[in-house]
Amino acid sequence: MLKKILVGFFVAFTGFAQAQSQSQNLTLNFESGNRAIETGNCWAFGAMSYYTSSSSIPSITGAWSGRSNSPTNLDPGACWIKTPWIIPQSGNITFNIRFESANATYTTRRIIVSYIPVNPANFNTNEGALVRFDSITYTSTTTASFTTPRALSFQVPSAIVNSSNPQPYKIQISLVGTGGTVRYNIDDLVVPGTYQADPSNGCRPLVSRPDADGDGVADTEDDFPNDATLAYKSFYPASTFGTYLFEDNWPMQGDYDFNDLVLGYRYEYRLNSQNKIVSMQVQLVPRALGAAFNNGFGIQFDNINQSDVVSVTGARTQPVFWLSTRANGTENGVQEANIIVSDNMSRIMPPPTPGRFVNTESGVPYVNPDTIVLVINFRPGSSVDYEYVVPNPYLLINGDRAREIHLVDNKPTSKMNIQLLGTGEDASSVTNRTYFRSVNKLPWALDIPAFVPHTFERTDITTAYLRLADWARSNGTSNQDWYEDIPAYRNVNNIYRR
Amino acid sequence: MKHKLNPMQSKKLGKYIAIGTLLFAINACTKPAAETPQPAEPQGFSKLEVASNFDWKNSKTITINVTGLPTNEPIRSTLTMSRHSGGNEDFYAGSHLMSENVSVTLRIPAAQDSLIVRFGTVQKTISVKTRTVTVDYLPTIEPDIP
Repeated sequence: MLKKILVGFFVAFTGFAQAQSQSQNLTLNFESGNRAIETGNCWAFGAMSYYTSSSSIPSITGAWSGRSNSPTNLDPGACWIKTPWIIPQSGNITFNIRFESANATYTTRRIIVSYIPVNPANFNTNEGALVRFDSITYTSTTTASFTTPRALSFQVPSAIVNSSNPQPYKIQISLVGTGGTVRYNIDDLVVPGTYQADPSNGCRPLVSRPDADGDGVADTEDDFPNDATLAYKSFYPASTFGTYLFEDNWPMQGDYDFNDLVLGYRYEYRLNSQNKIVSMQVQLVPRALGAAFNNGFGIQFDNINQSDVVSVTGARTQPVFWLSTRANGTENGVQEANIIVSDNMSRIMPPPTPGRFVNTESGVPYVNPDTIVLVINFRPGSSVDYEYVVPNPYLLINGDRAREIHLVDNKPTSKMNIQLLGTGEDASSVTNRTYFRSVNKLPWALDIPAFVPHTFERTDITTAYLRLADWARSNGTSNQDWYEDIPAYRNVNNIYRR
Repeated sequence: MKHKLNPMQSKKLGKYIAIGTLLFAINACTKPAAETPQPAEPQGFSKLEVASNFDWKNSKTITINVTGLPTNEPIRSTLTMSRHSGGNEDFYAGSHLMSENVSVTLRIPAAQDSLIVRFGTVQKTISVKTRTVTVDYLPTIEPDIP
């Protein structure tokens, strides 16, 4: 009855019925019905399975019991159940057992109980040599096959119970034998001891790992082991810089070389041990300015209120009449966290020769890119979740604060003159929440999650990236890797090189 | 010494050349029955015809639901979701209990077909071709004995 109540409780609240430690006992009742659950909790099974009760093979108790293979030898490794690492307590190891069939023949059946000490030199399992400490043997000449369960009990050896210096051990129940096909059924295994295994560490003995800053994240997993306010870094894109490519002739169609502003980017999100974002570091690398305009660049975080930002450092702005920032570094007059990174990218990356473009023409000296490192600190306790910090990057056209160019369907900031939307060749619609698509459904900006080289000046991007057109025509379902450096994907003659 | 054709031979040769030319011309004008379609030549970005709802995104947003594994004791470790195993390339890293059901929404490159999900030494490779993916910490076990 108690077992049924417990099973009902766990099924109701966790969806799992599992092996559980109650006070000083570790139990295995098979009621999870899924050996993988116990295996995930560091139990181990050799030539053993779970079975559900049926008329031909009823379970011992509950709906599920354990079942051995037909043992063929007396080695403890024939069929066995092994507990996770435990700190053994004094008392008795108990379980119910029976032979599966009264009719099947057998010669010898033996139940061996052993313990396994820790051997740190065995890196994979930390297991030492098996030590047998008790057994019981049945022979066909003295004992008929019994299908009524028998409760067996084996005393935990005092050698492994040490209250002053407790050490972890595993207990192994081996179900072995020779001759015939009689299998064992087993259930209700109880082992006195406390659970001491770590399923997240290869089921090795559970140990307390060093945590210098005490934030609950072990030093080996902590990207900031000496800073309790920070624990992790997450990235977008993960392993490389991404690339923003802009055309700046909005709302009119451009030449589609997508090199009016070429900007490398990488977002590094810094989380605390509660998985909330504490700060961000944004690396921005302007790589080319194929534009006659003096364009600026900004990023808005649409889902973040400006009041959640404590500070912004690293922006490259100079005093200009149209730019006003709050003390926290966000732009005044915008409720969202909006950051003007540069009022004029040409000042960060000046043309090598007056009147020439930057890094888009052959025969013009190459300008080494500078790196802008933007650090955004969020208000402690602002509970900024990782998934809400989605950047909305945009180009500011030629010092005109009212004109912005965003990625397709990214909304403009509140500083944009929305009267300009839908003019020229732009088909933006505030009503439909569609933004920065041309009447031909084309964009003025692309965001590529990889470092990609840009085209030469006035070179149509589709003549350099040969799969881009197919990707676009397929509605993004094919050639999703169109920008990768794969044979036949690029025409390098149309890609800028020094 | 050079061989010369007599007038009769020259006439016959002329007839053969004329017939051969005619046959070639007829054949050249005939379209092969099963012509292999050729990819369209790039027409330029401005000529691209795309669906009105095409979003031009090279990234996708996916939700990964991690089903926790009830444990005997609270087991806390770092859950990571990465492009590759190893390296400083995590799309997500966070501290979680092994028994906790976790839902993480990530933006990843659209071309990314799989992710590595790790919790301590537990590691699984998951397909991310759909918008919602479920993963658990259960180990792969050998099938039960028949």
